[in-house]
Amino acid sequence: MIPSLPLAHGIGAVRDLPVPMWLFYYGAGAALIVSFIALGALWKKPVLERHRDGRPLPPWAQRVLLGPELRIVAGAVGFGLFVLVLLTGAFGEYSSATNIAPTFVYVVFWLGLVPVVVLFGNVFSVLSPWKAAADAAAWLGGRLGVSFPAASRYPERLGRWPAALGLFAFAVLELCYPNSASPRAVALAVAVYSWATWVGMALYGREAWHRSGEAFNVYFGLLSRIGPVGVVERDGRRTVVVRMPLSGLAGADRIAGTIAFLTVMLGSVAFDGFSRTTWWVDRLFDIESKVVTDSVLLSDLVTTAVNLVGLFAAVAVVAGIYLLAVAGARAAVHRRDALRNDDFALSLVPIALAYAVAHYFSLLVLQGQAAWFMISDPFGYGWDLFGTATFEPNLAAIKPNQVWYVQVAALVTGHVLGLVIAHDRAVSIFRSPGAALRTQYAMLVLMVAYTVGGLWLLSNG
Amino acid sequence: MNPRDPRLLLIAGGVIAAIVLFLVLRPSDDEDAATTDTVAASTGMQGETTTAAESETTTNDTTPAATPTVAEPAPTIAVTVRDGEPVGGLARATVKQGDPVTIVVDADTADEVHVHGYDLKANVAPGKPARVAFSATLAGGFEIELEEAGLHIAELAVQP
Repeated sequence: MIPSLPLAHGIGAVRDLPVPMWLFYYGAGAALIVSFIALGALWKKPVLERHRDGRPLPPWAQRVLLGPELRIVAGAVGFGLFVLVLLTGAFGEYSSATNIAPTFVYVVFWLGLVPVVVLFGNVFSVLSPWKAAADAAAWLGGRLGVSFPAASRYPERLGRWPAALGLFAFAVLELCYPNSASPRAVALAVAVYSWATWVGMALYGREAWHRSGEAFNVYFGLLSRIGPVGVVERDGRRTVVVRMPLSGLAGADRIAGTIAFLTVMLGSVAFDGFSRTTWWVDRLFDIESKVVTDSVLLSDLVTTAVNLVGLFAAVAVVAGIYLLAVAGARAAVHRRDALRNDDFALSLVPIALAYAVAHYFSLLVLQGQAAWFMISDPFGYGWDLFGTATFEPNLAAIKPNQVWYVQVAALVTGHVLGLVIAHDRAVSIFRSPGAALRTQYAMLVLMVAYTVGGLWLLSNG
Repeated sequence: MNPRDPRLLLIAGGVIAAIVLFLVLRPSDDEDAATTDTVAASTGMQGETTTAAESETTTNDTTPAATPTVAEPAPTIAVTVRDGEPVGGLARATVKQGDPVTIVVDADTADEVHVHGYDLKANVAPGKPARVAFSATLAGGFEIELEEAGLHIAELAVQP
């Protein structure tokens, strides 16, 4: 028997139960304990920043990993899956229980790639169907003697803003639109996003747009900097290095829009948690029943609009807390020019990962299994291409109490890693350990706020 | 490294504090909950559904030797749907894993009641309420929906 998936509220037949109160208090207490240890026990001179360059892999590995062969193969795989999603989404059975498109986009791609990029580096950079298609078009054009020069240089002040906007749009589709699991909606969204991406690449050059403007490459790229594998660029030469985990997030990252991108990352997951609380569900229900209409389209539109307000508020709160903390750190050292707003931005990356793990770990494990039978029958037509069509997912593969422990452990670990990165940055900016420490009181309050807030969202189902 | 290093002492102290805090806060009956095993996986999918016939009651208990109950149990969740929405808002219920669950849905349209996760379905029509009875073998949060209308009507939480 194939478990059916609700079309109305995203994917996932089994929802997480709220974290019990005692575990909430434990998580909050543990976050406080580790924070005070961090204040006293962390290094006085930057450690992560020193290891940022890592150790290059041997030359043969560089040739394989950065060579054209891997890019062609991975790009073909990525583009093939992209076409599969478009075709199944547009023409397959209209059900997220049998059509692979929603599960592929929201679970396999969006959640499944997260552990992969953290462990092995940003593999999406070579899998990206948009980049692969653009590269192929440019190559083909080159052979035919046609070239497509970028209309202009990528403006520096644009930075990661287009990516932040793209990520926000994805969150609106996934979390605000009530029919987000509809295969047609997925196909349409993929088509629209592809068009926007290729326009961006045509305007500003495919490499530049891929690097800063394309939401998913920026997303997986930032997450991959937590892990030990990275690509270091120096004098135009790219080198694959193995480095101390977290060191990829050390030092300054001055690209505009980074705070916006990271707060959308955190805020959207926070809103996903918030939108499942009894309070929000009941409010939404109240509003919906006041605007009773016979038109499904109109009622979907109302729901989307109300959720959009919630999503925007969640992102604004996350951003506001961050900016307030940086202002506090600045006040603590009595120098207005000592710190820029984005100086501690990268310390949000592990927190964003922790939020994602806490909220989506069970969905990945439970719903990810559905991909196994769906790949044999991606359109839902009753095929059995690989003999896996009758596979039955084990919905009891993880028990709710195991999910709780993973959630709390993820948030507390993310909290520690965020503090470590902020600390390393602080001792790198300030020569005096005393001044560095003073800025970290503000960062500590920030991290405690994010962690306790995250725990609160998990304990209020 | 110097074993007297104050930093190491601080870390050791923190680890001890974290463990003590865990032991203090952790409820004592948690071990019992943790032992309920993956049996739920195989039995969880086999709950039975019946469209309400007055005398018919289907309850599978968790204990394998249990005999079906004779008296009709009060429903765990009873929802009435009028004009495309559940009267009084979303119905919510929390049960312990293994408990018998009965869901009764009365609707003014013909539709199909769907219990997610357990993947149980029952037809409902005006004047003919749907009755879904099963044993809550699978822990987690589950949505109950009117499938055709795509209407979320109730939520069941099964605590481990």
